[in-house]
Amino acid sequence: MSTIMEYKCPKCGGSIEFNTEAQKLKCPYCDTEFDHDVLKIYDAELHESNEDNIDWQDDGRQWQEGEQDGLFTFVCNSCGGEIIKDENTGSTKCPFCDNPVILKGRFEGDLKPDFVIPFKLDKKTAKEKFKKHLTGKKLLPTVFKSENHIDEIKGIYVPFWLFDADVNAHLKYRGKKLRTWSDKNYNYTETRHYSIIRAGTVAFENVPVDGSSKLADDLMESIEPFDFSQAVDFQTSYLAGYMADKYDVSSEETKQRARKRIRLTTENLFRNTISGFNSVSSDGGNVNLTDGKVKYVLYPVWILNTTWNNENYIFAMNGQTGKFVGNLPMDKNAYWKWFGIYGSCGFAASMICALILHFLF
Amino acid sequence: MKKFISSVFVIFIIFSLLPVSVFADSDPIYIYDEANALTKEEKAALSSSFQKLSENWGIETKVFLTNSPNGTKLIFDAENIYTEKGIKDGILLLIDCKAKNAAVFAGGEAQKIFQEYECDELAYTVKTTMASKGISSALYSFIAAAGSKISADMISLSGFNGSEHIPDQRLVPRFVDNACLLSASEAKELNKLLDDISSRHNFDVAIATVDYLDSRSPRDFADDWYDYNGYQQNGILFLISMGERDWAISTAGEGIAYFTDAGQEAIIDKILNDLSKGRYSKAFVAFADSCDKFIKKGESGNPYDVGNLPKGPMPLFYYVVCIAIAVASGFIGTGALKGQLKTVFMQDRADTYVMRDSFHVPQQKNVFLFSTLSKSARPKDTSSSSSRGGGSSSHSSSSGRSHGGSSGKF
Repeated sequence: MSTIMEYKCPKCGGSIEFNTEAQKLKCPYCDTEFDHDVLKIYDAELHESNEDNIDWQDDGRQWQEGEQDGLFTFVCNSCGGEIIKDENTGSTKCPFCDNPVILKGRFEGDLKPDFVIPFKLDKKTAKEKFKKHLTGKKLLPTVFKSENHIDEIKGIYVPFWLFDADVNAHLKYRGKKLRTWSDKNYNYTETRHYSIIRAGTVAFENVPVDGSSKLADDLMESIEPFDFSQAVDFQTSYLAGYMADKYDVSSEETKQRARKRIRLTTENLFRNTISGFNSVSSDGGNVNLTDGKVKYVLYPVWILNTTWNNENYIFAMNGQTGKFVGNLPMDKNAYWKWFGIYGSCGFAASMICALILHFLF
Repeated sequence: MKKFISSVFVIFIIFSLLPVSVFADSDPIYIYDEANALTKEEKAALSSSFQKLSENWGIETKVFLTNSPNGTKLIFDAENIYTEKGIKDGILLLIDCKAKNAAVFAGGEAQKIFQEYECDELAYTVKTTMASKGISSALYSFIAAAGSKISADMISLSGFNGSEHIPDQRLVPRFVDNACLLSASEAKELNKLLDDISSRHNFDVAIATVDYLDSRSPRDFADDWYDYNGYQQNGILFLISMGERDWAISTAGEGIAYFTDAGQEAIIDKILNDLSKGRYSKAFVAFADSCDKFIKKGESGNPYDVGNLPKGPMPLFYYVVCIAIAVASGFIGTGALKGQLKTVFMQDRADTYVMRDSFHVPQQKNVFLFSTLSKSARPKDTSSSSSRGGGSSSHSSSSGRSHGGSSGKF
């Protein structure tokens, strides 16, 4: 049985991992890089059998036979999270809550991802970015920087639903133009009222919504944007060396979120076409979305979980762009110290102004 | 033994009585209250006022209150009591409390000041005041009226009148306390202060207190006081009269320019509260210090005037605003630092996912509906308070000299 997940290095026979810098599969033992197409062919030849020629093309989302081999589902008993790994990928800790995971069984997902953005940035970069994230934050407790298990930063492919939509909007507004003048006895204000109409279209593509309930939506939205132009057709080989999360929120459920964001952007775009008025207020209208395609993709994210002072902190880095996010705790003493500093500066500056004002005017 | 003790006892009693009689003599009575019309406090206060009046001008002024006059006409009774009490060069006011009647008798030197009709006038004043306001008020009005007449006449008698000769040298200290408002040490300190300021600037800064003004206005009184007491060419006098509760400022020479009308107003503003509340020493010292400042400023060629007045200490309001700004900066600063810690947000919009060149707004209409007009009345400039251009007003006094100044009530 061919196990596509486990690629053997043609040169030295070691287990090949996907290298983020080269964007290719690279053997960590002999440092040779391979295009995965090449490896596929090599692997096929290695294993001779070609029984998986069945064409499932009509629905590209179905797994090819054998693709799921070598993928195992692990479950974490603490938080219930499920991850998919190949048997070789290290780390038996749950990326969501840091507890150990146990093997559940072979992976049998119903949907195969359409696309994947492979990891562009490696673990070293992730660690550096994390360190950078902690610097310059004056209210961060200093011990937080030291008490950290930064090595346990994990790379996961996070499932997303991507939505396309064509939007047709017809929006109405009320505008006012003011004119003022005065004569000897009165101040006059003339208000001209307008009805403003803006109607048109706008199209959206690849609006992402997090398909995993295990990862907080705001955390995943914060590392946006992902550049879809770098996405490639999904190959199981990309998962080598990384974990993947299974989707457990359907596209139906996530559709609403995408629609909300699309709607808001549309309203904003149209509103910005209005100029020349003193005040504009919305007067109703409608925004119609025609749903386009929905894609199921895996996006690369580096995740770190840490516990400090009995609170759990989670950090995430966009594995493609390097954007690093994560809320940090606040040191109360530092807060009051800086309050005092800013307060005294404010007091000194305003006192100087007051003295000048008082004694010169 | 018994005889010895009793004789010692008698001698002791005699000796203890002696001081009583001595005290009795040294404390002349000004008010004979046989009708018991006054309370103890009223009597004490009035007595001291009568005493001051008497001692100031040497005209003994006494009051006799009775319920049962002797003779037919009250004025004869008054004369009798005058002689009886051994008053010399003085006046006696006799009040019949029951009948609400009054009579005034003047004897000796006092007859020159109070002729018969003037005595009748005084008595009438007392009667009417007694009817409407009571005996205590009536006695005070008597003091004011009598005092005015006495001081006016005494001054004119001693020749302070008309274009009389202005003395070459100063005749009185710079601080004269006829109304006895300050203690001896306070008066001494004040005189020292005034002398110091005056000598430094070649300028006379003087303060005077009197119990009552005579027929003259406060302005004229102050001008005359300054001129005829021999103060120098350049100076300023601050005078207060307790009876009328009038204050007056008189300026002379360079003082007219140094102390502009607006400047005088500013000085009075500062001390009026203390004057009204009876903190005379504080007010006078503040006046002297202000004068020092004003003279200095005047010597520099730019006296304090409208728009150019001395600055007081910063009002409390400024401090409150500064503290508010401090607290606000504290919150804003730490708010910004706190913001650094939070990087996880829901993204409300999908701006980055708009397909390029897909945004078209073919229908854009701005349709004019209607217009409204509103107007609000402009506030009229009614009376502008500081429309004065500044400067100092001046007039010439009875001596012919030119004075500036102002007056008012406290």
